Amino acid sequence: MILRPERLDVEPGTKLAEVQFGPVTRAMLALYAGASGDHDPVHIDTDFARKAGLADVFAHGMLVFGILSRVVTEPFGIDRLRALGGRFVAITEVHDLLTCSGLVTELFEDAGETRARIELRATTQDGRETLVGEAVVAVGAAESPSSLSSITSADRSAEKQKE
Amino acid sequence: MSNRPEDTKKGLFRRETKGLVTEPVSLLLERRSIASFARILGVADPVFYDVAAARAQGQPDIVAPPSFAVVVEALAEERRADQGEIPLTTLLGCDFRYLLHGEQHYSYTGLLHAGDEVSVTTRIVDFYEKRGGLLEFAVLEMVIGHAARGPIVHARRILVHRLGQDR
Repeated sequence: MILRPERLDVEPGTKLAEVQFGPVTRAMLALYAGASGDHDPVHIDTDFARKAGLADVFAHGMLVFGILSRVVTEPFGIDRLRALGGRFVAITEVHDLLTCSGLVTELFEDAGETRARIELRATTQDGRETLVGEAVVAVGAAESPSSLSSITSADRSAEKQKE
Repeated sequence: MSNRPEDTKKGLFRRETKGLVTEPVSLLLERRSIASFARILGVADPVFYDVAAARAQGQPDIVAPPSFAVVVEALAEERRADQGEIPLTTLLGCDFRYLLHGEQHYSYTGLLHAGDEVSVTTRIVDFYEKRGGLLEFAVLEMVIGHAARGPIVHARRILVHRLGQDR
């Protein structure tokens, strides 16, 4: 991926701007089901949810995941995103208001880039964490050539073979 | 509670499908489906839904949001169904009454744009269980690739059957 030349001003401890979303409505879940192709009835059919022993329908995990991704794409741009993942630790319910937050935990170098590891969380109005994730974002070019060590050592061994 | 014979084996997932790889499915990424997905997430950046804004940012067309890969996966499943193939959820033995999405991980080596023709392959990687079988897990990996640009998105999905006492 091509990296934009300007370097991001982040360091471990940097908090990203929060993204608020909701409250989650049944209409949103129906629209998300249609737009995502995830037609699992447990998110859109209350009768089905009740038969499965649940109190009500609940939000698609990937709806919350998509909202959480905005915490990194909005400040940095999607072209800097290298990885994004998460664990769905609790159900996000209808009427929940989500706050999505991000905290830079580490800078490291990989593939010739300086990258930031960002801890991500989606939390409801009453403090329930529903999705805990992590993103890796390209901050700028690597500062030390050692991050290219896998490439350079391969080059070196190729040169040795020539010798 | 039930006397169904399958209750005597471990869990509900069909563990014999471990290692199965789907045939690659080709898909054209449509502007409309990217833009409507992006709008539901409430994205602020028009690069995800406005062609002119995307081009002004140097992109060839609107860009798929990071989690649009899940839509690509669903579209690939639809295409497989159209071709008369057995849905992955059926192959896996998913029971939607107990099924939860446990984890989702993506890594990216490029961007997906509207107008891209991509190929999608899914592999059933593993099954395992926790809490004495009350939680049963299936691990799937998907690759979204492009003929000229190679693999663009690697996805890893963990599905969970939450199996209570009432079965």
